[in-house]
Amino acid sequence: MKRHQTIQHLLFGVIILIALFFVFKIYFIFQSNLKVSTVSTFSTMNGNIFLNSFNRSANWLFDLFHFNHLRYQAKNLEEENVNLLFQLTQLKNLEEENLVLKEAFNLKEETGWHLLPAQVILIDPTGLSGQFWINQGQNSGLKSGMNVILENQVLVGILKECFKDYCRGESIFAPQTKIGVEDIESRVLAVLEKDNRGRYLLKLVPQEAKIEIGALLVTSHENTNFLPGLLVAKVKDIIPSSNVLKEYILEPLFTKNQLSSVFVITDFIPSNAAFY
Amino acid sequence: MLRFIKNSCLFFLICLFQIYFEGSFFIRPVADFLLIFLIFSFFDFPFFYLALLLLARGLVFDTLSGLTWGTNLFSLFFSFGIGFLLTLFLERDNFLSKIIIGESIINIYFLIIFISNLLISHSNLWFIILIDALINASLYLILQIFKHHAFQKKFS
Repeated sequence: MKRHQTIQHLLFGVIILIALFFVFKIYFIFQSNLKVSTVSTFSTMNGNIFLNSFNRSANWLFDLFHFNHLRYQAKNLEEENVNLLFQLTQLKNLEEENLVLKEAFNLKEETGWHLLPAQVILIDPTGLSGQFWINQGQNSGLKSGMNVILENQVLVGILKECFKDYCRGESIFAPQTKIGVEDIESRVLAVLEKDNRGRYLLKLVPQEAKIEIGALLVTSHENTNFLPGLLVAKVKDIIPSSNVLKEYILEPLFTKNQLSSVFVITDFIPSNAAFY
Repeated sequence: MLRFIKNSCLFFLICLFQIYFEGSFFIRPVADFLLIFLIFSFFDFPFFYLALLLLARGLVFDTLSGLTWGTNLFSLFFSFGIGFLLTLFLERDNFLSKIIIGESIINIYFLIIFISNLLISHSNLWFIILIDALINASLYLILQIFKHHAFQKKFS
């Protein structure tokens, strides 16, 4: 009787394993079809009233839970306002600085990029890859490798995979991201890297380099995957170190809430297929 | 039949919540409510029904996460398979067994994600995956204790 039961259990196990084998085989065969249908299902839900009201509630709850942070921010803003009043006297210097920044930012007019607007419809729910989906695809002429930016020329990431109506992109926050960057003011070249805590670090900065807190960083000419001059991040803090090379902590120039609409630069496709 | 419909509706709602509100553009630890919901369902529903939910969850997360295709589905089936084997040795209805099995599922799931990230993606995300595992294991523990106390109050 016991032997009979064992045989039954074994048979059951073998059947389950065979079934799983076929499920996985079908799953891998129909990979792209499954991807497109999943994205289209969720993207159609994205704009409905039910989710919008949920979104508003989520924002309200976010404000409630971050009340102290908001109050702290308001206090900081007040202090900053006072500082700014003093800084008005230094308007002339600021004007000059502004001209330098404008030169760096107005790349669109200089290079004549073709921009295609798109909406970010879905983002990575696991928080591990920094992936996002946009509502434009091969039908709009998009190809993998194209750069994705915000309206103020802040670099968001790069397109990795394009389907008929959708594209999957990878943000600059993806693991193992390495971007060659340049400080706008001091023109110091360095490398942006992510560490295992998800922090964004500026590495390989020479000890004699003078990069100030708050300095803006743009993509440098060394990158093969990114157009030069795209804004990436600003310097948040310095990491105290006795090494020959300095390291800084960086802060991204965009927040999650800003990422509803993006632009794809359609006339730049990197020749190198291995991104990052 | 009604409980299956209720459960799948709840699964769908939590799935939407996870995708639209927990979705992360920046790499950061995330509380995986859907995984915890699946573990709770694991104790009350047959494995074949659960397999369908696992398939749906794997499909959605494999699509949206951008991790190597099949990573999520394989991790889910493997960890819940181990959970199923554990039920052969431990009681399904016992509070402590539920905690041991649930925690094992969470840890095995994140261990596979950790290994696949290391071997397939070659990415250095061990810290975030570790925090993910800790957050989800603690959340599951709290919810299980809460549920246990709620049931005890109800029947006392």
